[in-house]
Amino acid sequence: MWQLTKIELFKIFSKPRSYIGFSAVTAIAIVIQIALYADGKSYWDFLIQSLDESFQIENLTFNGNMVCFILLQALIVQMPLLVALVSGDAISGEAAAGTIRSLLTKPVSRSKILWAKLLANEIYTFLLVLWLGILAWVVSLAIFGSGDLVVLKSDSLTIIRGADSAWRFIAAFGIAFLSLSVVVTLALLLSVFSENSIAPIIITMSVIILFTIIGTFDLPVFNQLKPFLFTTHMIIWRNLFDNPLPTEQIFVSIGVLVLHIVLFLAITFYHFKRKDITQ
Amino acid sequence: MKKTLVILFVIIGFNAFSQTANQILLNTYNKFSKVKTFKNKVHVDFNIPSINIDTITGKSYYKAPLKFKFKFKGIAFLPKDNPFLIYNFIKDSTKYIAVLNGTEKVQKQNCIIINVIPKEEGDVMMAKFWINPNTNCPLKMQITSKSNGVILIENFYGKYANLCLPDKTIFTIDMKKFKVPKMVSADINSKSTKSKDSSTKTIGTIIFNFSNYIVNTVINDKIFTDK
Repeated sequence: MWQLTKIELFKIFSKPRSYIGFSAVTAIAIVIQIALYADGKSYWDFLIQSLDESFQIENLTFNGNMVCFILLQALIVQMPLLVALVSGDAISGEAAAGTIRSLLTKPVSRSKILWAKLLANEIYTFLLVLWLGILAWVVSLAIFGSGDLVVLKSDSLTIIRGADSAWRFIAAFGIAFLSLSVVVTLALLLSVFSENSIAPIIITMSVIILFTIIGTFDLPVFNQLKPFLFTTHMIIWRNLFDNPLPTEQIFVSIGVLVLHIVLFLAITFYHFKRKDITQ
Repeated sequence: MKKTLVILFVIIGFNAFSQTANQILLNTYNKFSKVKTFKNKVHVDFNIPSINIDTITGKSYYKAPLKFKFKFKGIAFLPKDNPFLIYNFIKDSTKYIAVLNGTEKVQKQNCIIINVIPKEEGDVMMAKFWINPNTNCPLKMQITSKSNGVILIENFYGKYANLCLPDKTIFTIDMKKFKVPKMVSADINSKSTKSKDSSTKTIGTIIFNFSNYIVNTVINDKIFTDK
């Protein structure tokens, strides 16, 4: 099984498109860090000016934890698209290239092949999240230093003490990985149904964009739909930075995300095991 | 003749009343002025609308007449002015008009209410004191200033009442409601909370619990200038 996974990993990392995600994350992180290093303080002063008129705010320094949070907000929304770019190609890419037949002639069950592909894509996603963690958190702490985290919402501020923020970031990266796993399984599902390399990637991206747009609008008809959209639960990482922690809400969302993974995988395995390979 | 006598009595009566108010304020100042320096432990609770912040513990330092500094390891929202600045304001009775404005019970103690209006234009526009005439300590102060609006300070005394050093002080501050555009805060997915109250002002309170006072000890000036 591990041998198969290694082969799948080799396939992933031999494709130039697999590096788009790492490059995009690196570029966005560096650009935002440079911008915040240059203008972060004035940007922050502007955001809190209404409070500054009423209070003397002690020790409010722009620090690495705050930069990491801003980076997560900016990047976690985009990362599903980067993951879909690789996962959407897992089966359909082989079908389009005509290698799926030779792959399935090997004395290995279809389930094992699919598990290996899933595992390889999960490892790729994990590495992408880890890279994001190193750039967004470790590098930001090195550049901007440590301190209390200020979580800015449109109508409130939550201040998380510096010592209390590390575990929240680790949990946030964990939930980001789980959320991206939903995207991996969705892309894999669409990939099984397609024999065109591009279609599953485009459809996965379209679904994420559509769901995200529905989630953004505060319309009654959309509000009915929102609890059933996985994109609604993908942003639950933000709730880890609430005080008190909405534990129930977080676990419900984790449950919904896990259910999506199980559902997508069940359909994928069911279809792939019975799929008639024509190409 | 009768009219003149009535006017004379009114003037004399007003002066006597006014002197009493001035005297009470001076007694309060004289009591606090025994404190040249102090340092203490401070535990702060924040009750500020839209601001979710844990309590914080630190130290505060005072050096007469105007130096005051809180020291915390973390973010803290504090009143803009030194809580003991008002004592410096009342020390010179030639600079303000003080008027007795009745009595009121505060913390189950009978207090004399004194309104103070500065004679010269400055940041403080008006101040109101609720002073216990037995202890001469202000239990409540309401300060209206140009820079900070209306600030209500309520003091609770204990071990150090003999120096008018409070164990607990509650600051009630007029503040603007916190609001930034969703796109600016990158908070596009959160549900907006629709408030029926359309006013842009609200009230925040900061509660200071002071303990472990060390009074009239040597305090290095550097403490007040350190960031």
